[in-house]
Amino acid sequence: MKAIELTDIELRLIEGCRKKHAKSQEMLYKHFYGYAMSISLRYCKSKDEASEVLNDSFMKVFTKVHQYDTKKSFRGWLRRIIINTAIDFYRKNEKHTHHLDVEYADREEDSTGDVIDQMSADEIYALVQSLPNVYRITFNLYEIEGYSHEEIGEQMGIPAGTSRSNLSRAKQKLRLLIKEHFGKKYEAYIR
Amino acid sequence: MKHIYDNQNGDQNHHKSSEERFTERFREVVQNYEPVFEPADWSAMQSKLAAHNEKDRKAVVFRRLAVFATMGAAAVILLFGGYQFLDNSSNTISTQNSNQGIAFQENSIRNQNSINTNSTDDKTNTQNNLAENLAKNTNQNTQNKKDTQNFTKTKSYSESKIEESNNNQKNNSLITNTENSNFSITSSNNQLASNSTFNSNKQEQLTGSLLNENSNINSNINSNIEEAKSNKMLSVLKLEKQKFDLFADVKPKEITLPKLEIDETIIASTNQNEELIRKNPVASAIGKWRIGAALMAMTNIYKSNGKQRMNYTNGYGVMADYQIAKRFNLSAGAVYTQKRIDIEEPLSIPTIANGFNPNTNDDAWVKKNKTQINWQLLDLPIHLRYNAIQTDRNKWFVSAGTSNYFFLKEHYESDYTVSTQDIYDPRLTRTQEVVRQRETQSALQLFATINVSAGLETSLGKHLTLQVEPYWRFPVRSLGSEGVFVQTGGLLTRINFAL
Repeated sequence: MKAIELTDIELRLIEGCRKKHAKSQEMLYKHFYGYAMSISLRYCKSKDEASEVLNDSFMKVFTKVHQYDTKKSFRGWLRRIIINTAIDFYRKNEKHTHHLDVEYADREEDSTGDVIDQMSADEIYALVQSLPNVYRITFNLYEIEGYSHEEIGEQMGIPAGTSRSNLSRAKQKLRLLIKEHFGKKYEAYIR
Repeated sequence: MKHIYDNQNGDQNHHKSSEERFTERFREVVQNYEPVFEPADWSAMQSKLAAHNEKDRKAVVFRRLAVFATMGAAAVILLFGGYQFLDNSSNTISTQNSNQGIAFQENSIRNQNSINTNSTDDKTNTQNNLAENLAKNTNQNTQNKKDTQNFTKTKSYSESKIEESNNNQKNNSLITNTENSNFSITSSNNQLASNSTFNSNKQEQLTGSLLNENSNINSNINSNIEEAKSNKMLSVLKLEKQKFDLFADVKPKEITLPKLEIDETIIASTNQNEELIRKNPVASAIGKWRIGAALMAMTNIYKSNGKQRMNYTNGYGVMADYQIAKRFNLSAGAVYTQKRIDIEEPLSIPTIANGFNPNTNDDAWVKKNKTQINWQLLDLPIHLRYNAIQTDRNKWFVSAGTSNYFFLKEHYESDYTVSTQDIYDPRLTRTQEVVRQRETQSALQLFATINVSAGLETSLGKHLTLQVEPYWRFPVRSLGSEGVFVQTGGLLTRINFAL
């Protein structure tokens, strides 16, 4: 992934944050809010939780900004912080992982492709958010961030096999959710 | 990351399951999806930051207290240590003095003993003399008894008188023995002897004449007794006078002895002092130079938005001392320091906003929220120091003077909130946050502060001294181009090299 170079204003904002300059902190927050929130929403099951994770992440950014190396991508650094915060958030809130019952959907060729293409970003995010926490995180880490199961297992403190299993279950759950969503849409369409 | 776009091509899209197609769609969405900013989230963040800053502030206060406590403890230890040094030095001096006193007393006692010995010898001599005289008296008495016996054989009536005379003589001799009066005894004995001779030679004279003679003898004896008594008084007086004379002889010696010792000490100490001045870097000597490296830990105190604020900083530089009088030093130096000051200015000032945004009309309010000041300056103090207490290793001093500030760099960063009316729709008001920075270079402010301090300078070796000096600097004028009154207090530590 190619690191996006910081603009002059971003560098100045980071410098201001290093000096604990309140205005710089505010401007940095606003500047990276959209980017950070889009990541946080993927890992959280609701907007409220996403906001909490986001603010916790920015707090880490403001307190650890002196550790940031300006030669590297700030966005990458910020994303890493948000992901770690989200993992910590769910690890803290869920003392043990439940084996969730997944209602298996038939793996068959379906005609939901067009519907998926027409889904809005909010609908897609809503579907992902409706996944159980562990599945959602695993799905994001594997499918979006591109981590291997070994890396995911290391981050989440679980074996790589469990990560594979979680991903498989996440996809099965998604299939079910899409089918449900397609059904609703289809019903709405035929009416 | 290796797997994300594996096995993906257009031909296979028709054979993909719904979740695979969803995943692809999800990836596409993620690339471009950015939710709009929600102020509520920032409000929550501000609360979080405020709580964190408060916690941070408490930690800073605690750290400052810890630093203050450490500095205080160090100062107390130094003061106590210095006092101990001082106390030990004075104890040594007093011990030396008391030793001299003891020596003097011992000498006096020895002299006194010799005096007593002398007087004892005198007494012994006197007693010996008395014993000799007593023996003489005894012999004389024996002779008198013999004479009396002869006299009894010839004249019985005079016997009783002779016995009376002998008794008187015995009494006299007893008195004389008791009172150590040789002279009276000798005289009485002589008289008695003459009386006895007289009696023996005049055996055949008439009873009347004998009675007269005897009465004369009696009167003579009585007068002798009186004389003996007066002689006794005289001898006592002589003895007392002798004692007095002995003390009179001793006293001048007692006075002169320590005098000689003190003179020698003074001479010795003068030489020692010259040696000390030469060797001791703390010792005062007019015209002496001391050059030192100074380290200052300081607290800047200023007012912001009506509240007192403070921050910590350090300074380092060089300082030099010149001894202008026995107890006075002139001190000067250059200390580099940075002062960071945050001034909050929450008042809105109606200003032409064009300076901030050229697209606005004149009806604008510019609120200067906060100014962050960063000064890099040289503190150039000139102090007069009075060395209140001086020992061979320590100096306790008070110092006063002024500081001139040479600003190497003044940096100001101000945050403004510019509220403007929309140029096309005056009902709309827009706000804009603007940060402005400016710098000024090289400005000298004379007599910026009045300085007071007190401290201790102690010797570390042949040429080095350590100086610890708590100080306070009161602002005489506002500093910098923004005009801020800044008090400074702290601890100056110096290592001096005495030339």
